[in-house]
Amino acid sequence: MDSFTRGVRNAFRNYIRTTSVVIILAISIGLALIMLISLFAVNDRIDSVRASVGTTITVAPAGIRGFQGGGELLTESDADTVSSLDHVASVEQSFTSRLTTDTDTTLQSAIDPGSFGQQNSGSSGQSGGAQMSPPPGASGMGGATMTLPVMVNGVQDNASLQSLGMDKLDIVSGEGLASTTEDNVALVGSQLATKNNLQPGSTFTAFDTQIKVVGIFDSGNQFSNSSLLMPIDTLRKLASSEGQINSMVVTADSSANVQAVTDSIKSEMGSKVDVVSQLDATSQALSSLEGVKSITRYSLAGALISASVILFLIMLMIVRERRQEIGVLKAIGASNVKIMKQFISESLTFTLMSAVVGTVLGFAFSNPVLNILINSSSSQTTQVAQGAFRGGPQGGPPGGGAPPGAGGPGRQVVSASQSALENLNAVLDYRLLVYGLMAALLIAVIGSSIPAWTIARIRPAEAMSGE
Amino acid sequence: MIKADGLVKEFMTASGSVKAVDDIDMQVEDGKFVALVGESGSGKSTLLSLLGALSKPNAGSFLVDDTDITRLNDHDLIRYRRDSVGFVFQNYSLVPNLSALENVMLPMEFSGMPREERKKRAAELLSQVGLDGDKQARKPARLSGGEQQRVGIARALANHPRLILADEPTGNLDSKTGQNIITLLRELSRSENTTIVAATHDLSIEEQCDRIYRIRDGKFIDNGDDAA
Repeated sequence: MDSFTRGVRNAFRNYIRTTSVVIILAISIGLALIMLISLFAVNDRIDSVRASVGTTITVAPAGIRGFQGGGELLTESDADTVSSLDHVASVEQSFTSRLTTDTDTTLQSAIDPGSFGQQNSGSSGQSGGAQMSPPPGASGMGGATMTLPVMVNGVQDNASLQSLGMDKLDIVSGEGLASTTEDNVALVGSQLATKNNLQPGSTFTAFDTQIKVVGIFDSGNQFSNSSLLMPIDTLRKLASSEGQINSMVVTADSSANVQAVTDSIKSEMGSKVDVVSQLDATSQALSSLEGVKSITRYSLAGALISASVILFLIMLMIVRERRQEIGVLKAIGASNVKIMKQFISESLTFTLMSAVVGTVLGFAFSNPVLNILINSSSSQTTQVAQGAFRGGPQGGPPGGGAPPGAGGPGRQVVSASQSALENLNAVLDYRLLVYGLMAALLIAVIGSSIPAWTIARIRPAEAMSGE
Repeated sequence: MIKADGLVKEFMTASGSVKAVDDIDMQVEDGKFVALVGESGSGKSTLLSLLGALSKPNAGSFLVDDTDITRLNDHDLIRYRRDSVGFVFQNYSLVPNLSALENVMLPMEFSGMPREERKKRAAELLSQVGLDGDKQARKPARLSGGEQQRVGIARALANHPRLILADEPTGNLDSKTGQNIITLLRELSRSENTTIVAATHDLSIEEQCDRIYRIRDGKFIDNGDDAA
């Protein structure tokens, strides 16, 4: 038998005490494990939310949303400035205009104004850019049937959907736009093409210029299918707005850098821009997860500290109780290291037995505890998010509003919050067992070595005096 | 030979400094059985703890074959206690959850002896002190006082010490058992050529000792009448 084995046997010298110690420690270790499992689950969910959010940041001129507000548009030199920032992978510029009779287009909008459009006919521009205009040939607004303007988006690349607020863009006939062309060409939304009998190769007039239709697209929503896409340089030239930009969609090189890029843009561009990242839209969801994470982190630390203190006090009590025995061991030739080794192995035995019981407790109670934490956070977050949503949309993407079905930022927040907190299950994987075991060993070593070291340092005669 | 010269051990108490051992000189030849006789609190146990390097003196020296034990560092003191000294205590001081055999194996474990070897020697030692068979596997609580003290003596002999320090070895035993224990120690000192210094106030021990030191208030009042 050596010091280690003697320590293990010593752990069973008093069965009542051993049972009590194991139960108390197991509760602390179980609680720590529950918090560790919850922390891992929440961290994984935060990572997945961040990954699902994407890496894009929308930069718009300050005070301007679509065709509302006022101020100065951005310029290509602003885009160059943003492009040069660290962690910026790409910058998509967009320029948007509206075709009304003022711009002398032959096109008729494919969207029926309906009661919403009629209501806004007298308050131009107050509803996401739904400014009314009489149809070609009508004289004024009195009693005439109103039509909506036709939205035209200037794009750098028709494969880049983010700047268009579209989920998809299928070319149903003809071909797409070449990214570098300055020709007077356009891709026409399927509904607008049907309304105006347009096909690939046909032409229409806009900005007093003949525009050739190169293709028809389907975006999956009526709003975008009633609009036009033109090369951005062509559109800016025709609208006499060369070099101007309605907005930029900046892509960061990783989701982890979205916040850093957002901060850099705000710092570099100052008050001339409004910067909105998708990270902002889900910050409510993330904040609730971060709240749960904080609770679990503090609880984990508390559980570990309490386990350490419990073990420390128990070992202190045991060491003091065996003070005379330690003196005898020293008298017959035991070194301080051997005495410490004996007590550490005794402490390890307590801890490992408690860890086994604690792991079972952790398994059993991790999901119920996590559910309590999540439910508490979920109800608070949903209330906050719904409050924000009721406060009204804060502006849509370029073009005068969000596409139907996409919802506003408020709805996205509610959705993101709910999806971030739903189905959050605690799973025990090998990392938890490894970390848990390491923490338990650390607790055992710290909890026992200090009292053992203290007693091992004193001279045998003092230890044997029993005082 | 062991030789103490001017040993002093002082303790601080609430009422001031007390000299438990006060300028003690002694000299003991190898293989002798020496008794320290005195009343409780006379300083016997304190002197034994100085000789066994369980505590450090405030002054003086203690030589074992020309090595001054009072000048050894902690590491060498552990080696001295392990290899050169065996202790026998009044209350036996056995580890309660170890068997008699395992208790005797302890000092040999500390000296690094292989397990099988120390097991064999421990069994031999227990047989030598009169504990055979299943008693070797018993824990101290299942042995009588005399048997426990025999285990203590076997443990003290484990590493072939040149000095055995016995502190009131018969203090918790009846007179007949005590006499047997003293006889055992006496025989061992002769057969193993081990020096034995026993602290006692049992006058019956005197008859079997080679030399008796009488101590009072930390000083020898009679330092070395040959008794046997």
